[in-house]
Amino acid sequence: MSTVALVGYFVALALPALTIYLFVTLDVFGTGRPSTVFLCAGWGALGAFFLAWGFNSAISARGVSYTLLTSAVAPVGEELLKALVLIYLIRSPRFRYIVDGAVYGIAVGLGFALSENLFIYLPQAGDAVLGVALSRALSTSLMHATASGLVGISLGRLRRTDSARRKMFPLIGIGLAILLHATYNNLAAHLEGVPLLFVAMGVGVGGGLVIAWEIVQGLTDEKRRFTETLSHDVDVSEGEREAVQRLGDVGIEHVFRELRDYFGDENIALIRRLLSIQANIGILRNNLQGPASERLRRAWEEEIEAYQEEMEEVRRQLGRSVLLFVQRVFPTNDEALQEVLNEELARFDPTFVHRFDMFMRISGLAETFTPEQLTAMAERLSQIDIFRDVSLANLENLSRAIKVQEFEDGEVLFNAGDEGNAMYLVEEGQIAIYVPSDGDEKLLRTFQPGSVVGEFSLLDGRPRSARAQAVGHVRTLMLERQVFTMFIQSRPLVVLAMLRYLADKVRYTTKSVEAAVEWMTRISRGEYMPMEVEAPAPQPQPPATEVILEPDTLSPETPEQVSGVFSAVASRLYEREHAMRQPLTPPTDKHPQDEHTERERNE
Amino acid sequence: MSDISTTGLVAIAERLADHALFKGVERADREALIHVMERRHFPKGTVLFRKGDPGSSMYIILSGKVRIYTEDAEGNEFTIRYLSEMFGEFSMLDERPRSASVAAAEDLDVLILHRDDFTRYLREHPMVGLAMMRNLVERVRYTTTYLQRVIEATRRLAEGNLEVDMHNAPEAETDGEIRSLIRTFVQMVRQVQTREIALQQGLKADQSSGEASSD
Repeated sequence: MSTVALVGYFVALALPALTIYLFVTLDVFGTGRPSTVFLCAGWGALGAFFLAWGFNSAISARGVSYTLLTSAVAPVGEELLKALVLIYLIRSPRFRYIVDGAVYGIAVGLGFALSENLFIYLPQAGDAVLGVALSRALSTSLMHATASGLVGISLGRLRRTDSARRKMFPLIGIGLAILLHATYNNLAAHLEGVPLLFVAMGVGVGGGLVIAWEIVQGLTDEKRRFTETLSHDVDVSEGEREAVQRLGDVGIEHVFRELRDYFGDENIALIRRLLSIQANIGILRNNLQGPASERLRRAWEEEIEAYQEEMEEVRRQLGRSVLLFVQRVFPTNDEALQEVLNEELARFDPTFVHRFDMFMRISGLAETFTPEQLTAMAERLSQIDIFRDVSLANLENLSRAIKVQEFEDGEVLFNAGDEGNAMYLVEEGQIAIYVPSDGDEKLLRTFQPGSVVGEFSLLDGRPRSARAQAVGHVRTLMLERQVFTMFIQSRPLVVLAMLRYLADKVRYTTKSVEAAVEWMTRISRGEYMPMEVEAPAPQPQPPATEVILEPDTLSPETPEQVSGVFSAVASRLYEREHAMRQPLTPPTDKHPQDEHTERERNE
Repeated sequence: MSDISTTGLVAIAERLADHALFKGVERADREALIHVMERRHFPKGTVLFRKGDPGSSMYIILSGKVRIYTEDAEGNEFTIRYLSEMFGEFSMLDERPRSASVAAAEDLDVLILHRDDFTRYLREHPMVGLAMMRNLVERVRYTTTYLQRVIEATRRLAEGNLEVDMHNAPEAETDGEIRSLIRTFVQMVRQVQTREIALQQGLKADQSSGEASSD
């Protein structure tokens, strides 16, 4: 065999091999696996080709002319035989993604062309010019790949489309393939070399355009289907009440379940991430249109930038075909779709998608305050212990959810046993706290303007342990637990900051308990003397000014206060016991000072 | 964290569930948390950290025991207690200096959760942070309530009301802190009562003997 012929064979082999290699490495599959593509190519090269060879031989043995054979009989037979494996694969439940139909079809065509070149055209070409071998090899591959690609995509659309015309798709597909094949064969009978190559390229480009058009149509169908799934039961009414209900239950799960069948678990995780990031970017951009201080705007813009970087990263990780699918089926410029999609994502992924911000916009609450008011309220919130470590930008964002609530003199804010569903900042007037006491109730304390009532209810929603009642006309800034929970759900850094404060608080309480235990142990032993209180390590918070039971503000005594209380109790007990001893012993006998020194001696 | 078998992982995840800080955390989240921990071995006697060291990690003991202790200025060590469960969780959350020193009392295998890893973990599992927040609030509420009750009762005791009872207090209290608070309180009341009754009887005896002698 001559070198030229060798080059011809090499080209004939290399072209399909390269194409399939590209299919595999570029990860163009949705649901398909590389092995499926090899199966297709194998069927084309062995099964379809040899069956077609036998069929064609049998036909020509019956005296059918060569012209009739190549221009009509062979195209029909060959296209039908090639399509067999496609029908098998696309009918399988595994098949989901229409683009895969085209990929499978092209693989079958390439396999068929490979055998045709190896067993028919190249042996016939003999030592003919390399150009002839080349043009044959290239143009046969192009034609077969395009024809079967058309069949594949049309079968794919049959599988995935609800359209009434769907039954027509495979007929149109196979009809087009046969037409293309016959046209090519007729022209090829009269052409060789470069003109043939041009014809093949024309066939390839034309068929390619049809395939591309089919893919776009198919994805549009998919988009319509998903949009319908998403829009199901979602009505576009305004108002906060509806907003809560709308964010309440999940519909996007159907979509993800279906997409999982398309692309597998790993890709689904990435798609979810991508869609959620897109959602958050959209939500934050919406935020930027509402009132907010410069500081908050900057924080939002920075967050958007961070999301954009992450989005690029996720895009890199997603395969091309999956990305094509996502961009086509969930286009970011389709605002109506994005709206529905974001709401659904927020329901599904409340710990990532900023549901709070969506709620603010849907409910119209976002427009309540001016940036100056928001900044002022953020400052107020930062004075509250639980928000001590939370950034001002976050607190300002949270402030957008604050509502002004006013109460008439004597009006009850909440009763003991009510669900702890809100925190109140007292702006004007006073709030009196009453606790049940011996069948009656007593006034525990009164909150003045500037103080806060029930901040721990935000965190645990425990029932109120006391009744709160307005004294005079009361104006409060109220933050509801439900909204607050939405806010922190997608903001782990805020949670972390609050955990830091709470851990401190637990340590502090422990120190108070330890002080109490130490004092009680001393009192048990009859040691009534004040002790040097070990200063609690770094002071986590300034000591409160009064020791008082505050059921709904939860301010535990500081260790110093506990010591103070017990010290007072100890002196009181000492006095009583001392008074009882008085008649027995001379007053100088047992004096605190003596006891103190005595104890020191013993130690 | 590679060499823990599945059964080992499940067992540790179960132990986490028993810990007050991780109550209400989903099992999958607990297992994921164990996966971000670092496994370490310390031979007996190793000092893990000293009081006042900057703290930012939590330890779960897989096997062995640690000794919690403090040192005075002269370097004398005072053992506070031995532990074979978990410690350092508050330093991990608030990054405050360690409140006591810890040394391996036996050969020790531990899982360490570093704050940075926990922070990253929390981004993926935000619900865990919410559960922990609730648990901490509950603990503060609960401790504060008992502390306040003890203070109130002690005040009454000082006013001469010896009829204090805390029996309705802790039913299934597992919290050692509260148990010791209540125990000490009950002991105090008993001691004070005993002393005062003795004094009163002495007083009566004294008075009666005084009366007798005056006859």
